[in-house]
Amino acid sequence: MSDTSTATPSPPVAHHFEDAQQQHHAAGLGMWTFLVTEVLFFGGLFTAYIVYRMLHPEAFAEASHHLYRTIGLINTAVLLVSSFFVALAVHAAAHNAKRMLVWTLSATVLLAVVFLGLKTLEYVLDIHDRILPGPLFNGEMFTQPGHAELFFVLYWFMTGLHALHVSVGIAVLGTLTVRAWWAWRTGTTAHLRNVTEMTGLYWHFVDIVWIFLYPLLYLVR
Amino acid sequence: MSERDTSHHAQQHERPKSPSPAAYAWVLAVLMALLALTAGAHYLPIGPLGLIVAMLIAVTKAALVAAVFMHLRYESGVIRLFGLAGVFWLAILVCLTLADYLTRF
Repeated sequence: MSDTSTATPSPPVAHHFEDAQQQHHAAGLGMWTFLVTEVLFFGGLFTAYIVYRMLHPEAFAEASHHLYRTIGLINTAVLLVSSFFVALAVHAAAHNAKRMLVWTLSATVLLAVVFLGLKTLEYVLDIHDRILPGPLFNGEMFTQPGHAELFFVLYWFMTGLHALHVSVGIAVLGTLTVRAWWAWRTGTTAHLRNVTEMTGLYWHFVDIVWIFLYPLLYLVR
Repeated sequence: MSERDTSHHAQQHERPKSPSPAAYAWVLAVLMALLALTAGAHYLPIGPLGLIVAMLIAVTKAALVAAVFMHLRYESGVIRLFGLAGVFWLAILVCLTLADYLTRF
């Protein structure tokens, strides 16, 4: 990048750390600890999914055919590309490439919004199709209505919890984009290095969850 | 902190082994190819094998994201250990639950 300075400035070090490297290690370890708790947070739902799919394989396959497979596919691609952009953002922050940082973060936020928009559209279509469990649910479409409803409970909770994580991601990435833009205008982005990397880790995690949700929910047969 | 110390730390902090944008682009291309493979394999008449294929591809994609995008390949041992701990504890959760359900007759 043209705006990369030859000597990358060191990020500021908080007083309770020895140096930038220790600060970086502490942030990384803390973030990974959080992500492990997140793995187990989603893990409970995945375990429930495994058990009930094992018990009712035909009902799950039948129910899965009522989901919008194309939207699921496009959204998977959208998240994979957004992960690529946030990886570039981490690279840009590490090399103090300010313009690249602002643009890659903006692209990530934009793709996250596209994902959430498509997911919202899908939810509206789902409700219209009457596959929302509860009083609106149309059991007559299925050979095993109760077990099909069970599949949709898991579908709504797993994608819903994921969508909540995407929303948090948009808020965090959006704030970071504004901070990066402001830092670009006023000087160095060195102080954003750690926060960009940790936000990136979170966003990659959200991507990984969806990598598993897409085949497990949309491609059951 | 002396000038020499600062540059030394900055150099260490740089971790020259972290991936280049070109490497990220390659990984994205592979991820997209694997996604196409997942979507395509769904229409193959391979029966229950389809689930195994889909899960193998998903694990490969997740491993690529973790190793390259999340820098796990380049991180210190303790951070890799934390990453693996997540997989390990998830395996305990799933295996012990299935040990119950699979042995009910």
